[in-house]
Amino acid sequence: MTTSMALHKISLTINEKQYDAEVPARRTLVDLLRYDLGLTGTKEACSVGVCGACTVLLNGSIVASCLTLAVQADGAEITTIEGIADGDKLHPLQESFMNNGGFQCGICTPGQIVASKALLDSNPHPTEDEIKEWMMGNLCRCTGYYQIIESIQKAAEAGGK
Amino acid sequence: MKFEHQVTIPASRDTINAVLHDVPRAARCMPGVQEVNQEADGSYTGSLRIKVGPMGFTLSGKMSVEEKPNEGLWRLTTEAQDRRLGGGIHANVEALLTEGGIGSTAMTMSADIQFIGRLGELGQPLIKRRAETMFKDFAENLRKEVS
Amino acid sequence: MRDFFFHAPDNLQEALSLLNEHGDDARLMAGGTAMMLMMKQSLLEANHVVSLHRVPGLAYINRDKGMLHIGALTKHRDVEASAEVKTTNPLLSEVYSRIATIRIRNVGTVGGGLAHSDPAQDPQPALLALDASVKITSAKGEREVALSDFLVDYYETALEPGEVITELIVPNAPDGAKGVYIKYLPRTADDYPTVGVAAIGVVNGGVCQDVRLGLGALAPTALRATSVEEALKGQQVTAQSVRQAAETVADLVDPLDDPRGSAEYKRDMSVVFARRALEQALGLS
Repeated sequence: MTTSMALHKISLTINEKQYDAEVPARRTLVDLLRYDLGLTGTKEACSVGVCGACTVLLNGSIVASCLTLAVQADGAEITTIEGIADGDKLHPLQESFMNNGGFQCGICTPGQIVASKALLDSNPHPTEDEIKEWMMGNLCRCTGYYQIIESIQKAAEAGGK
Repeated sequence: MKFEHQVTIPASRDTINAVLHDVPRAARCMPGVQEVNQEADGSYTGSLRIKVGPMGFTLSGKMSVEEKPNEGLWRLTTEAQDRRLGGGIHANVEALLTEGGIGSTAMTMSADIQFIGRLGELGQPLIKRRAETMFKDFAENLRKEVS
Repeated sequence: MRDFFFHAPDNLQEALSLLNEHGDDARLMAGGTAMMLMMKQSLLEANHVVSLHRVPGLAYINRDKGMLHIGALTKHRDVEASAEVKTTNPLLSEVYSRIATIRIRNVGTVGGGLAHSDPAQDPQPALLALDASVKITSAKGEREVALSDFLVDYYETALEPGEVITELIVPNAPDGAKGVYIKYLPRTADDYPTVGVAAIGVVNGGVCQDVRLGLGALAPTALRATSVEEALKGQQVTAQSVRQAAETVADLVDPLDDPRGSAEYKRDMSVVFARRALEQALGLS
């Protein structure tokens, strides 16, 4: 196949702001966010959908943006880590992660926050097992996970939405 | 990756040797062979297509054949690459012919295949399974071709 | 990843006509997670991706007498979370909940998963045990295929060119049945299993009235162990009979050597986990 492929015009709402872009079909959502739109909060670590670093909310559900094509997200509503805080006011999860040692190097943290926000939005008082079940696939090389679980529990206790 | 397959062919060793000597004819007994061309130096080039579900691999490369018809031995050595994927195979295929009764020959085919590069990482368990089937088909097709 | 043409038709007819137009050079995409993995490894040759994500009317879960009708574009997560499925067919709920992680289940679809046909996928053993079937649609019409006939080989199904799965039909488990799915994972919980076993059992007065056994990750497709079922049906349920029946599983399986285990190991484990699943389904443990 030697012909150049068409560019696709897409339009999406990210963190309540409208963005338009023109991308080849093969552009992943994570690359669109980071390279085309400069929203570098979302990270790409494994590229194969197992580590959770690239987690974003797409139409209300968390997805692996490294396994999503930008063209699949045409017309979608997306929330990235940049959209979790309310202006200068941090989300209770962000506060909790800071206060409870929920991160060290920080590379997995945007994914952890977005995923745990989705958890608390759907289940405001998860048990420890429910947290572990949901958060499976948000890998962390630094913390050993206990502080992440605790950060989520404490945020839930504080009425974490 | 090694395997072996045996077939009994209702033909004499000489008849089978003649078919094996015609390398393009023998090669076409392998399912998926797309083309076989003879080069000036007596070697051959060709390509082989393997499909596993939606995945397709096209291996192209060189083949050379060593024949010892008096010993009933036919050996094909090939090196082929999948240009799209990056990676390839290095394979030795041997046919050992033993005359049975009149007009009947036992053919033992053995293969030693090495996967190189990405083809090895990605597909090995799958391709191995498919290769075994292709191999059996090769032996069966050869039997039909000769009979 | 190589570039390709991406089509997002608004309706099924358009999707089918795109498939017919491009033939071998087109591939349907549902959620796309499995497909993206193949595309990132340059394993897919199709230059035209026909996405179903805008096609309406194919995501639903309906109960009709003794069956669940699940639209092919229903997300795995929706099957997992559905109260209807949990009450009607809890084993189904369980197997869909075991797939990968929440991120994958939010995107992957019932039809896409079945079309992918990896032998280690979680739903298939239970779906076989439940005698599920799929509805397939093409420009020529519709046909229904038993799942056991639909799963043909590694990554190969009975789908012909120009066809798309539109529905999964799952009969309820028999009355009074206990269903269990054991996903044996020496590695991480989000992986495919080394051995996956689904068992359904109905026991009355100590006698096995009905038993079903589905085996996954042990052959080119998931398998239904009917010979094991026949050996146990109508018999008194004893630890000994279950153990003996489970031992015959070793002759039914044809596993691959791969990073999740050698063929020999999987064969040994098939017996162990078949036995455990049967014991649970038949009330011995």
